[in-house]
Formats: sequence, structure tokens, C-alpha cells
Amino acid sequence: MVASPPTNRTGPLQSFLTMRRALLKSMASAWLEQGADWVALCDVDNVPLAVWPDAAITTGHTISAPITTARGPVGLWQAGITGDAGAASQRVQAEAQALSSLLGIEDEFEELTVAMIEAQDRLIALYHLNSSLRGQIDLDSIMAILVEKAAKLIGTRAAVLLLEDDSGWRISEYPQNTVDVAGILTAFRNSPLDQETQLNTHEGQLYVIPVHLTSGVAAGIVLVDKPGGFTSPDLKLARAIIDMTGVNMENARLHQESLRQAEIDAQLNLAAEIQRELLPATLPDVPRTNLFGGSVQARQVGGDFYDVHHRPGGLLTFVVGDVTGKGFSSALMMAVTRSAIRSRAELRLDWAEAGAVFTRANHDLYDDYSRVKMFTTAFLGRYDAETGHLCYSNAGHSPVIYCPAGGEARMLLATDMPLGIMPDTVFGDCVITLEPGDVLVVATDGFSEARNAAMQMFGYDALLALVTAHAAEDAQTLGTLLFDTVHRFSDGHRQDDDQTLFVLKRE
Amino acid sequence: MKITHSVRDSVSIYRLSGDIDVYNAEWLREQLVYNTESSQVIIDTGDVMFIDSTGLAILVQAWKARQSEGGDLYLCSITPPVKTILYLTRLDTVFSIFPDVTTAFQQYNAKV
Repeated sequence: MVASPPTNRTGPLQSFLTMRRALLKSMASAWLEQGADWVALCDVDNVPLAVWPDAAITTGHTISAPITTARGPVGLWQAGITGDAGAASQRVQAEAQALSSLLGIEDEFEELTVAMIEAQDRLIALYHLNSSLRGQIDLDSIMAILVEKAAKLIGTRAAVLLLEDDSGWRISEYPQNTVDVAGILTAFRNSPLDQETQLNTHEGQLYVIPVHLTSGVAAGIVLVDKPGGFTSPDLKLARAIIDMTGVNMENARLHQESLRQAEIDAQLNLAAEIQRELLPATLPDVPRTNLFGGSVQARQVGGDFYDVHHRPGGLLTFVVGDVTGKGFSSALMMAVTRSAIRSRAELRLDWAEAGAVFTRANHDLYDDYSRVKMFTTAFLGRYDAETGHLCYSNAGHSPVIYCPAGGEARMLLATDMPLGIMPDTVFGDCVITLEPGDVLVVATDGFSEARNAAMQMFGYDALLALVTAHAAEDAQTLGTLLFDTVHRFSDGHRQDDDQTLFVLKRE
Repeated sequence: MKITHSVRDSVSIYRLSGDIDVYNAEWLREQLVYNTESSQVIIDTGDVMFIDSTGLAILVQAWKARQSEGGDLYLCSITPPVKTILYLTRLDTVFSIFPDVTTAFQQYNAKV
């Protein structure tokens, strides 16, 4: 550490005189014994600081030599000589040089002492800074403490700490409202992130030190004006504070991120619960029919859905849909689509009007779908358990599998495009009759497109074969088997898509 | 997945290769929906062997965007798996599909 230079030039010589009076006196005594009239130590203006013998008058022939240190002349060593001045002059000069050297060494020693004290003060300050940060987990509080300590310890006019996170720039300044923060932010953003920069701006002299966070987030401190300029010790101290800043800000940021993540998780769990509530809690008890329904989303929430509505003694209406995309956006559109189809289905009481439900729902939903850039494939069936008649409309949905009792499973292909593609699509109807033992499986493409670790797809053929092989089972057993088989096929490979299944079997 | 883009007589021609799925959907959306310089677009899917519903939604969005500008979006060189998925969803009734880029390009010229 560098001590401040002395402000008056007599200072060091005066203190030298105090500390080294005995030495100077013995040097003077030697002169006096060898015939000198007097000996004096003077300041640079030739004013005596000490004279030997005491109270001697410094007149007569004087020989004098300057005493100098690294900072320049500080005084004079003089002797009053009556006789031959030649040899005495050399001696005075030699002694003045020796005194200069001694004074220089003592100067350095004093400087080192001051520097050590200052270093110790700053270490103590850093220790206190570290203590005050302990237990702080709020990023803004940490930034406020750090910026204040940095400004005070380094002795700058102001300091500004900046951090860019998801919500923009967090800025902490000390003292408050004394600098143009926007201007400083601009200066910081224009400075390189990998090195320190010194700038002269309208705000004053700025010293920009980037903070290196492991996450690569942009952060740094800007020191504003230091009387006398930024010295090397100032910058070393600033870097020490910055290192501490980095660690503490990183910890606080990670803590905030984990809090935010926990909040998102809680919201997602709530959304997932709501979505589960939108699926039928139980399936209706329909005469001579057994049913199975299930849905496993690839993420916490998703775009698949199925819905069932049964009027006792009347029609069973069921729908399976798959909104494009994944996650929250699909889940929101799934809820909207399910409601639109349900309300339209409840209005249409004639069993042979499946397509009309889609036509109206598509009309209702088209603008929303266009805005959110999605569409939905869906299958809607209206089933008369008395006769086994099934009227369905298939809006781009697959796989839908029909397996006659004892026969081979086959696909019921889509008759129309998905919902949300064109505003005025008229959706058609198809009618089949389910005989006892016949099975209808309506799945989403999460089944047919399930992939294993080798990225092979389960595929439509495997699905058809599986249904053919197990069509004799009841709906519950067949549905569970389909879920289990596809799950085993994926063998730990991440489920890419939602999987939803509805099985209807006529007994 | 990979996209190459060329422009010929004001028709933007995109050649897609690889899987079109939820994992590269946003990037594809940027390219096909927002970055396109022309309202007349041909998408060559000759090297696409898989497209999921998210990928289909992007094609539909791009098609709607070009239609709203008075243009169109043609698909060409579709592979059997893509043909199957377009058929199963009946999106084959939405898109104009051509055997190759040249035929699709001739269709645009015929319109002019």
C-alpha cells in the first residue's frame, strides 16, 4: 500500500532530527573537536533546525551540502570553518550523502509501516463485509451492501453494481441518486465483459470491473471518481470485493431461481390437478357395454383429453382429442376445446349428428386456434347401447381402431381435417354397428408414435396386432395392456407425446 | 433437422431434412413462418421421415400465413411416412402437394 506523500518538506527532516539527534550530535562533536566553529542541520530554506554547539551563531565561512531523498532536497548539512575548507567540503558532502541514504531508508520504512496498517484496515473491513453478507439471501440486499462497502472502502465518489437477469437489469448505487445511472449502464454495456476498463465520461472517471458469474450472467461494478485517481491498491481491493460479490450474488441468484422454479412447479402441479379434474373421474355404467379411459401426459400438463357423457337410457357420447404442441399452451386450448365440444354435443340430441357437433365447435374455436397457431385432431362418437349403432366423426384423428369379434383390427380413418384449420369446414358422419364382442379403441398418436431408445416407433401395425390379439379381453384389461405394452416398448426413453386411450367394447 | 433456403423468381423454396418434431419446432417456426421473404412458398420434404403434430401445426401456420398474404404454400417430394401422417390427419386435403419442386414451381408460374 502506498502512503500519502508528506505535505510539508520539513516534516521528514524534523522527525529524523528527533529520532537521530544522538547520531547527529556525535557527528557535530567530531567536527567541533577538529576545529569547526559550528555545525548545523537546516531545512531547504537554510533555516537551522539544530545547531552545535547550542545557540552558536552560524556566521563566517560556511560549507554546505544538500540532504536529498527520493522526493528531492529536504535540507542542508553545514559546518562553519575558519581554516582550510577543501578537505572539510568533501567531508560535509560525504556526510550529507550518508544522511540522505539514512533518511531514505527511514522514509521507506515509514511508508511500509503506513501501508501495512492500511492493508490491515482493509482486511478488517473485508472481514466485516463478509460477516455482514453472511445469512443474506436476498439479491437486492446483497447488492446494496456490496456497493456501499465498495464505495466506502475504496473511497470513490460513488459506485454502481449492475446485474442482468431474466427480468432485466438490477442496479444498486451508492450513494443514492448522485450519479446518472442510465448513463453508467450504457457505459457498462459498451465495455468488454472480459477485462477491466477505465473511461472518462461526463459523469467523471469510471473504472469498470466485470463480475464473473459461473452462469455467464452479465454483471459488474462501476467505480465513479476517486480523488487522486484509482491506484493499484484501490483496484486490488476492488477486485477482492468483486470476488466476494461474485460468489454472494451467484448464491443469491440461484436461491431466487430455485424459489421461482418452486413457484412454477407449484403452479404446474395445480394446473395438472385441474386438468385431471377435467377428465372423467368415473366412466358411466352403460348397459351391455364396458368402457376404459386413461390419459398420461408427457409433461405435467398436455393437450390430450377425453370426455364422456351419458344420458341414462339414452346415448353415450364420447370424444378423444389431441391439441397440437405440448405443455401449458396445449393444456389451455385442451380445456377450451373440451368445453366447446361438450356444450355443442349436449345441444345435439340426435345420435346421428356427430359431425354437426364438430362443425359448430370448429366454427366457435377457429379464431382462437388461428391466433394461437394450433389445431386439434378429435374423434367424437355417439353410441346407442341398445342397437350397437355408432355414429362418429373423425377430424384428422388417429389411431382409431375397430376390431370385430374374432376378426382383425382395422383403422377407422379420418373423414375430415382437424379442428381449427379452416373456419367453415363441414364435418361428416360415419355409421357402423358394433356387434357383441366388437371393440373400438380410440387412442392418440402418443401410442402409435411412441419411440424407444433406438428411436424406433411403436407404429400402427404393432398397435393393430396388439388389439387383434387381445380383443377378447374386457375394455379395462385391453386398455391397461395397451398402456403397459407401449410403456415397456419405450423402455425408459422419454415419453415424447401425451398418450390417451378410450376403449369401448360391446358385451 | 436442417433447412436450406433458396429463392427463384420470387418463390421461396425450403428444403427440410431430418425429423420435424417438438424438439426443433420453434426453430422451424422462425424459419418457415416469420423469416420467409415471399408469400409463395414451396417446402420440399424429400428428406423428412418423421413429422409430429407440432411439426404439422407449423406447416399449417405457415400455410395460413401465406394464404392471408394472398400467396400459397405447396408441399413437394413427400416421403411415405409424411404422406401417411398427412393422409391420417386429412391435411392432404388442405395442402397442395406436388411430386417435386419443378412441378410445384410450374404451378406457381401457371397461376401467373
